[in-house]
Amino acid sequence: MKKIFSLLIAIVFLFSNCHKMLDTVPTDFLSPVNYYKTADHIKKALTGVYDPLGTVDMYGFRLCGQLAYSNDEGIRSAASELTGPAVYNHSISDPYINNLWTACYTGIDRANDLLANIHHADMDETLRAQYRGEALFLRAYYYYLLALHWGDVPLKLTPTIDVQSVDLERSPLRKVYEQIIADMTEAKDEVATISSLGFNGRISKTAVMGMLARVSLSMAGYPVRETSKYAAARDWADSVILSGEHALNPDYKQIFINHAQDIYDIKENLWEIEFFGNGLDAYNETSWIGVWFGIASNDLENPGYCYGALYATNKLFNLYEETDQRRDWNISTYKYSGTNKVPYNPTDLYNRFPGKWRREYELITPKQKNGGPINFPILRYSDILLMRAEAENEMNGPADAVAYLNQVRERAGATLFTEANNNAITNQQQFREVIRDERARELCFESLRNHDLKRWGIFVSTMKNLANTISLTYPTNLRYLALSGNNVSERHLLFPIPSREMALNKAMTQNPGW
Amino acid sequence: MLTLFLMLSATGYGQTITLSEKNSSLLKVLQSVKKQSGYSFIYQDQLMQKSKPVDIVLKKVKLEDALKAIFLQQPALTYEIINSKLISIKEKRYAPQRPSADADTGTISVRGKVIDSLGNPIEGVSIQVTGTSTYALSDNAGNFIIKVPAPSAKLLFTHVSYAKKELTARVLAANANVVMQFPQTTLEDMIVIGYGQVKRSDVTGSVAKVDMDDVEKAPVRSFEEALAGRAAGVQVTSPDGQPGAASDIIIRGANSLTQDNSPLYVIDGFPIENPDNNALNPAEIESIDILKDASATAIYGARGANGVIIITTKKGKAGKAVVTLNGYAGVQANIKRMKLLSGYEFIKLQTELNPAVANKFYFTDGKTLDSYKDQQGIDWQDRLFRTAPMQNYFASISGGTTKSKYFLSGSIFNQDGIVINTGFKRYQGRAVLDQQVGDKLKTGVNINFTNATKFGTVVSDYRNDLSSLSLLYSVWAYRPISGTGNDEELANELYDDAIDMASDYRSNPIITAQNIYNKNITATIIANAYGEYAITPRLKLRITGGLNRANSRSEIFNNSNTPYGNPRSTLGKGGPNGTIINTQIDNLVNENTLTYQTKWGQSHTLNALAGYTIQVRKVNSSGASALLVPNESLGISGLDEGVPSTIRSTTSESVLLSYLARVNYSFKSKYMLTATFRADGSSRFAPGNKWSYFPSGAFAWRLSNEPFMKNITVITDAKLRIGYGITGNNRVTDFAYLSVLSFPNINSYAFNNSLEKAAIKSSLDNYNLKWENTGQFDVGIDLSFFNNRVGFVADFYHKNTYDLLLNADMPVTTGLTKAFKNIGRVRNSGFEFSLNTINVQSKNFSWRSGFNISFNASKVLELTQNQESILTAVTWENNFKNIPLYMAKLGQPVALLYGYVWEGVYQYEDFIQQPNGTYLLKDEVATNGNTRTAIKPGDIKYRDLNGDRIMDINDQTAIGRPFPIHTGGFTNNITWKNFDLNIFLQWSYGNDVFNANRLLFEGNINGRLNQNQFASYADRWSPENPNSKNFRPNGQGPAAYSSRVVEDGSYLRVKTVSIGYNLPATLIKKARIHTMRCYISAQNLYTITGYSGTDPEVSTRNSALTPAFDYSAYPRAFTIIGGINLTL
Repeated sequence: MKKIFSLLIAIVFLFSNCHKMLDTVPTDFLSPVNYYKTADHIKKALTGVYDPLGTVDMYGFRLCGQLAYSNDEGIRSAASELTGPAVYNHSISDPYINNLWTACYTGIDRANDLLANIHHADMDETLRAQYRGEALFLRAYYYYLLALHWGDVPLKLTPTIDVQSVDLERSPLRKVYEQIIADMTEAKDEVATISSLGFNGRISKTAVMGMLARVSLSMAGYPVRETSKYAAARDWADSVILSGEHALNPDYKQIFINHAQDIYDIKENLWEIEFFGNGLDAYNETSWIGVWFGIASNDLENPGYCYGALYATNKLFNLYEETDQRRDWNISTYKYSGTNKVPYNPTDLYNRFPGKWRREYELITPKQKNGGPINFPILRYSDILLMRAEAENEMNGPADAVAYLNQVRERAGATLFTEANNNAITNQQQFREVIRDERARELCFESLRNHDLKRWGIFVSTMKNLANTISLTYPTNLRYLALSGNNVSERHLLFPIPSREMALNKAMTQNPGW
Repeated sequence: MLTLFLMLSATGYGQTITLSEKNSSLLKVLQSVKKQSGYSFIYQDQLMQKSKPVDIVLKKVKLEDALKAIFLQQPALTYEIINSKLISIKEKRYAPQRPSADADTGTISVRGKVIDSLGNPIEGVSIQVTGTSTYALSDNAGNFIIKVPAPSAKLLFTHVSYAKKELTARVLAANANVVMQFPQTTLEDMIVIGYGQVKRSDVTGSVAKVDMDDVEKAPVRSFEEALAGRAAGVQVTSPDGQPGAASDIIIRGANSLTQDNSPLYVIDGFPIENPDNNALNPAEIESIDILKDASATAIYGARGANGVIIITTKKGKAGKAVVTLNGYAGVQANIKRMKLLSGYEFIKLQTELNPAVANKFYFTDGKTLDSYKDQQGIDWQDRLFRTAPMQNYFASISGGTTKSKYFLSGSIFNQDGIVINTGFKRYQGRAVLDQQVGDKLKTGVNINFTNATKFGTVVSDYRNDLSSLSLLYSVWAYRPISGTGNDEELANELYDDAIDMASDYRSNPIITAQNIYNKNITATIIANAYGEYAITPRLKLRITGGLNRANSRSEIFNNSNTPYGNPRSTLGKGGPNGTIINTQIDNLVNENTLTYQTKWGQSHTLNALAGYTIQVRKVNSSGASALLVPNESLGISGLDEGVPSTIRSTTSESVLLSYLARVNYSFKSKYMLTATFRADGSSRFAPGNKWSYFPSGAFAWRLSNEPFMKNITVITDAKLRIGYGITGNNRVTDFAYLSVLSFPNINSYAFNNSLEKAAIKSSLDNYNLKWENTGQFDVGIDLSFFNNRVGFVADFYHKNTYDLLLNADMPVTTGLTKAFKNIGRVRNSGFEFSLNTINVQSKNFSWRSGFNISFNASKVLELTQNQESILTAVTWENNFKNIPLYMAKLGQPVALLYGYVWEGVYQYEDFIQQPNGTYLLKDEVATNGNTRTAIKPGDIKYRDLNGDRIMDINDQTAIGRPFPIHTGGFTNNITWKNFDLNIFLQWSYGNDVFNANRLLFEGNINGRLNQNQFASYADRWSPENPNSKNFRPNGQGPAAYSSRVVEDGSYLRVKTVSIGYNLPATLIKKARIHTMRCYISAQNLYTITGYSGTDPEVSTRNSALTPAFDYSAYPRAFTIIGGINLTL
């Protein structure tokens, strides 16, 4: 019995020790509780805030692909694509739209986490301010994307801490814009200058200012129509111009060749989404720029595969003068047969490929079929000049606006709007038309067109006119390209709230027409 | 000499006798017969000294038969019916056989006769002296003679139709007759329950025992393949027919919505979640017991809610070495292929889809549609499917002494799949040793090693929602005709130039299947050891320790002839690439139990158990990938020459500590009570929620032991069971309650042309996360009729699962897409019935049947946040990625198919013809989700439920029930002379299947060109054929799920048929073979179903929320094999 007794004692002793076994700690991941302690932690968390920008759901593909076209610059080329956002025949469960929504809110949540924790870190105060400013700006930028695509959206500015309260109401668009402007304005004072950064993949002071100009213009246009924001837009554009940080690259096409070759042009480009490598590493930070749309090619290496998913419109071609160097860069003059360039017949004007980014300039080999290193510009200096001109014209008419427009035209070799050229613009409305065309000439295929058309209130009419023109003037075998314009209706001014969100968030309401 | 007369009045008595006596005196038995029959017995009272105690159970048998049966047990006595009132008892004229010393050999000859319980002689019974090679056979009068070394030697009687019986020679000598019983008397079976065994008659919970004799008749890889329909309440869903694919086993309905619902397995006493069932050779399984209700499973507490499957492997028995050799070989063939459009119909469809493109491909050089009139083109299915061999060899040797026992075995199983370059192989060995040390200590080990290899294309595999990557997509979609006049061109290239590679990832299915290298090699070691020490005769301490280590290596090599390694392919990663991943899962268990067993008085028995267990589960996984492998001919070995890519390394650990206790109390075997309690502490939950407590109680009442039941003579045994208990489910990931900050490579950003890694929050913490609990009530009755010839079990259960663990979808406005939560309640309730009968039992012919049927209904009772329903999408096709197909709605089953109600196609009368000849949909006719102006006659049409004439989410509703109303199985075992026949039928009734294949192949939902269709699409709407319900080409409308492809998945399947022949012992004795059975078995012979797909038993995205989905399922094979079982 004694033996049993001592055995029992031993077992009881064993038990009490064993309970500690239940306190396992994760060996494979860190918990946020123990994070945000050092500058490096914050830097990595901030990288997480940037990360959605480079995914296929945003600028890696869809936001400069199916979610930005078709429009009067480029039309989806495949006759077989009958459904989806590229032909304005999408449902509320469209995966690309859902994924963009997800990517925006993922970025916002990461920014919220960082902003709530950055004060814990033991780090240099200047760097803390810079990182904080970048996070604040990026959160505002994600909200800007949401505002452009969905209008009223839930405004969430603190981290999610509770898995139970998930029903978030939409805030009015005006309130969303006010928050965006407030956050960006705050960020402007904290982030670094582009010259101190030396590259344009990070948010710089002038990038924030330039983006404030763009946001102000958006708010001044449809649907908020807060026209007092034209002044803000002009001022923000001015602050970029006057910063002395930026200038136009004298050679238009070099801007885009630089994108393909990982060369930073911090004068011309205020902010680029960075892509790198050929996807044959573990990170796959590549983009479909030049891959999805571009000059179609079957050759994997020279020039590199391109699906040729868009045709530049005949309208865009006709917007350019013969002397405008931008035309033959933005719209290809040749197509590929294998690795050979075959010039277009001069009458082939309806199914030319956009040539803005060309894979033949990529330096990294081997090239991969579905992804390359080409960066995507979010904000260029020429845009700043055009915004400055547009805002000025809206406020005071063309007199002081023309000079900014002419800077852009001069580089391109286009005729200047001057009295000397007998080409002066005196009428505000006339200037309005010119600036709308100029933005297409300068900024085509940079995923700005749909939002420009929408804020000008001419999206539906432009698309209908386009469809009409195609149906009447295009060669018969290409008239199917009218499909997207025919499909467009008022409801396409906004994306539908994704069905997934509608099902899970009881406070959510649907956009009109969906 | 005194003669005692027992005389009573003979009036008012029935014609039949019912007896139930155990170890009773002959006198007592005769008094009972007298009472029932009115006959009196006359005998000399000293004759009673020569009587033997009587063990007898008879129900309503004739007097003559009763007497025969009683006196069979009286070696010295016999009887004579003198008249209608009197029976005389006399001494037998001859003396019973006595063991007689054989002068020559020093052995003793024993004679005897083998009879059944009605006294009929049994021929062909094998009588073996245990532990020797001596054996004999009974002749046609049942007589035998055998030599034994000593009166204490044991004799083993075996016959295919009867239960085995073992006797010592001494007993036999005194008895002369050996009575063999029908095997159906199962009340004495031992049922393995957690941490112990009880007699079936004493079980208080709901426990099913699987008849392994039947299961072994099925030629299958793993026991789970043969488990469907074998036990009431156990639903086995295998996703499809892929060799080596694991089945999902659900007991009494799914409790959990997103978490694993598979039962806990206890293999040789070793509890384990999700073991690799391929590691067990079905031939080595001695028994499978399935614990279904809470009273039975509560001893497993936190892991008992999904039921428990207890598997016990074979062990050695004392005696001479028994060698068993089993082998079979056979073939498998594809049962059903989809009929596809003929070459002509295919071309015709292309002209309708897009005439311009069709002209370009098919009508060059003056060819017209008529040129293709008789062309069939390439039959890709014919080239992909094959008749494939399957073989299995098994050998074992077992034996030992009363103190040391051993069992050693090994097996080889080799199955090629019916799809080229797929298959499964297994090599396996086992050693079991048991040793008695002194009087008090027993120890043993049981070690199993298995090496199992699965290889080839996973046919239903899916990646990134890309439906066109699944193998059968390519098979069905690939063009049968190239248009160039040489169709073989298509067969020689991986890609078809006519295909838009941007969105359509189909590749030459034959080249793809041949080149895919996807191998999974799992080495499993299961090693258990135990020591059992009898502290006192009533108190036993048992300590066990065990290890289950599964080491698996996954090797994937994508060469340039596969879609994942071809530089031109969208997913080709620039060229040949590969990945190796090694994963090791260790489960370590230590269990310590004390068992106390006692009896007091005549009536009370008590069995008490207390224990403490520790279980640790460790997972570690590592691996690497390489891209641009330069020498692809080296295959996976050449990976090191490629460009290094992802490195994987993960580890995790969880611990479960438990205290358990159980008391079984029985009063006169009439009232039985079980009370169980378990406390579980799991590391998977946050501090404060780690521990949970699981009580249960059950009560059983043996009605048949009550006096009022004595007169109901048809009922041999009746027992009522009732029980309630709470069990849990802890199937969440190891640290589900914590926020996770991770650093995935893919979430990087390239700043300044250099890649920087990001820290991202990939899950949200929830410190309130706790166990999912299930309260289960069960009431059941076990009945046995006609002297156990009929056994019937019925159960009703009612399970309420609360604090449901859900990996819930989150609105992404919260920043995350999923989070673990305890939400809501689900109920499962149902009935189960099983019936086992001996329909015929005679000398040469027997027929036994087993039938079971189960009904289960689930219902969502509560969801948090006032949610009405949870909608779930299925991953299979990009355009359907965010369209929910399943709905779990309050008051409804946990899954319903969800979508539009299909109404055929729009007809001309739905339109107004415009002046330009086009048709415009009338205002009062609802759209199909497309814009009104885009809809044309022949387009798909849905029902407008809310009357707003626009098809949207508000018109979606329940369109099918994926769960069956009832499922079941019906087994028949027939023996005739030396032949045996086993026929097993299995069915499922009332369940719908979502046939997603038809979305792509009966109407081409993505509008892809040059994609073939099922033959059923030859009939489609056209102005000339307006009555067809299939929409016109391009008339599919926007992506949507509808009732169009919801089909009744009910089926009745002849699952297994096995015919065997036992060679007569006289014939094989010379070859020193003990028994030999030759047989032919077939699996999946015939299926009656209305389902149009290849197989209604399918669920390629199987989970509680997404059952019965069919897309690119590996067809289930018909298997036929021939084999031999030998024992030496």
